[in-house]
Amino acid sequence: MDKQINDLASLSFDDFDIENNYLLVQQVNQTKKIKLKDAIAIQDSASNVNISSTGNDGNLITELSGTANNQIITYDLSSFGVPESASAANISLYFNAQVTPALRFHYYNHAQATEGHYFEMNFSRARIHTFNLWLPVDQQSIYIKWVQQNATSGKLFYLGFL
Amino acid sequence: MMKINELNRLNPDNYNPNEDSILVHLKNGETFKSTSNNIFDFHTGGSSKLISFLDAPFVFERINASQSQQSREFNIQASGIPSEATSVLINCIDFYDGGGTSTRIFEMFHYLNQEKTEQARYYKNYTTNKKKSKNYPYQDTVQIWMPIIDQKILIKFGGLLLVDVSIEAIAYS
Repeated sequence: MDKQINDLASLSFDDFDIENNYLLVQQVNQTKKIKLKDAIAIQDSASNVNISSTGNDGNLITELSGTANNQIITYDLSSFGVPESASAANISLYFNAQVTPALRFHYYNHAQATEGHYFEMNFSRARIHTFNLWLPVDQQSIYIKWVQQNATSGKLFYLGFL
Repeated sequence: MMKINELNRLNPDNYNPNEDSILVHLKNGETFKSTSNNIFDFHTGGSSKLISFLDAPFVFERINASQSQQSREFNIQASGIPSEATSVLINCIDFYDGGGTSTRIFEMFHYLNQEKTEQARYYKNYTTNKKKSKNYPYQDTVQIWMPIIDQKILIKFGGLLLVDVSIEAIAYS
């Protein structure tokens, strides 16, 4: 006699085998099976569980110097493939200055925010450095208010989202 | 009647975790159908955000050389971070503006378990090339993910020399 669902033993955590276990999937008018590994990968992708790089060129600012204006600037990441569900972006900030480098900016949860978070860098001699930061994402965008930039050159790169 | 072994493989490209049903068997013997997305949302507490930023930083402490070698247990409850969170993004901003040529040190350990047997170390040791002057400071910012252990961040400061660092929570996951 075939087993009923109630008769099935529970699968222990240690016995999960994502390569060889299958989930039963009911779709309209049909039931099929999918490899557990494939289902997890699809769920991860749908839920942004992993840090995801869109594979596109994430060059947000090609010339950092001279963009300080004390207003919140919206940087739209949608063209890089960042989805509406993204909560944070990983940013690479390349900075090169020959004389008294300085970089100060606020970053915000959204464009209308009155409070935010702060980044500060100041040095007494020439410096080339890359900072790696997490910034909040809302509506596929990040929000930065540049306060001071003393830089010979600098670039802001988008790397990925979560 | 078709048996499980006889079912066709579903092409992964045709799997929709938001619409396709999978069976969920309860401990009491009942069986329901749900979606993978619903199960995932339950697992993550229904939050669609994997990293949540606070509206404003929560400053745990602003430290200088007098806190060298001291330990801290920063309780996260007052910061607005929910008890379900497992890690905190800590922003460390060094506001020191003394300038000068003296060596500066910012050394900080954060523990990875309750027993404090496992730790990670952040360490900066540097000098500047100008005579002591407020015109030539070295200020810096670094973000560090730290685990929440029993609702606390467990830290021990190491060597601290000529620093003025704000230790603040800015996000959690």
